[in-house]
Amino acid sequence: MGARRILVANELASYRQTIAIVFRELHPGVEIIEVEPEAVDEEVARLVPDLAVCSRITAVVRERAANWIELYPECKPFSTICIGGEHTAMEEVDLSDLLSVCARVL
Amino acid sequence: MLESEAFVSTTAESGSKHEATRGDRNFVPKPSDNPSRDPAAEAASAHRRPRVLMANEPRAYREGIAAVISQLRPEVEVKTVEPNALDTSIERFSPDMVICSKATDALKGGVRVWVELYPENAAYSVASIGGRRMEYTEIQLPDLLSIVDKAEELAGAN
Repeated sequence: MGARRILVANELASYRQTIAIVFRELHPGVEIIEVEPEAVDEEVARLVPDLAVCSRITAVVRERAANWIELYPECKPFSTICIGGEHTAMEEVDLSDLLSVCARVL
Repeated sequence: MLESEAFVSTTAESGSKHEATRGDRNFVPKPSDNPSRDPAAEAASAHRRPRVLMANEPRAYREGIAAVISQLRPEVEVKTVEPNALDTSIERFSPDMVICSKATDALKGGVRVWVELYPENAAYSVASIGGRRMEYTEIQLPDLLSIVDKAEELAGAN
């Protein structure tokens, strides 16, 4: 099995850094990569992460990431989680929901 | 290392999944405008842990920042509340620092250090540190931790 990777590309900077540091601390064996939202397509295509977290899902993310979280698009309290092709829409996602997704996909 | 079990158990305390106090579970708020004359109480108050109140939106980021502060600044007591509970929580918790999405008059008048984080979901943020206003075009997590450190210093100086 290759290295496990999570790509964190949500807006805004301190939010992205927060999610990345929480994932790093809880999953020290997983490579956590932070990228600017504008770079998400390129990095998803290059790294093919096990999970991508972004604020706006793109066609490339849908196609190339096995699992993804569209977190608070346009800063609205709705998020969508996709695990293995199965989509779940959620209102007011909390941190434990994000950690649960990590636990499921890793 | 952050402990997910510890985090979940903390968020579940007091019957609310989304309002949690990290650290001292037996914390009893003391009114900041009613200083005690009891020497023992004064000594205890002098050594109380710095308090940070988190009331920003959205929730996962509020909880995430709270978890990071608790992990990296274990001497700090961190409490998370819904944004609409900000003013009442300032009264009850007497925080040394507040992070919120919309600064209120009660906040500006009653807390020495605060951060208005991404108001209106814009990238900029505003902080007030002991009355000194700072503006950030795009605040970083280390900036927030640095402000926590300054709040600690100011709290310790009192």
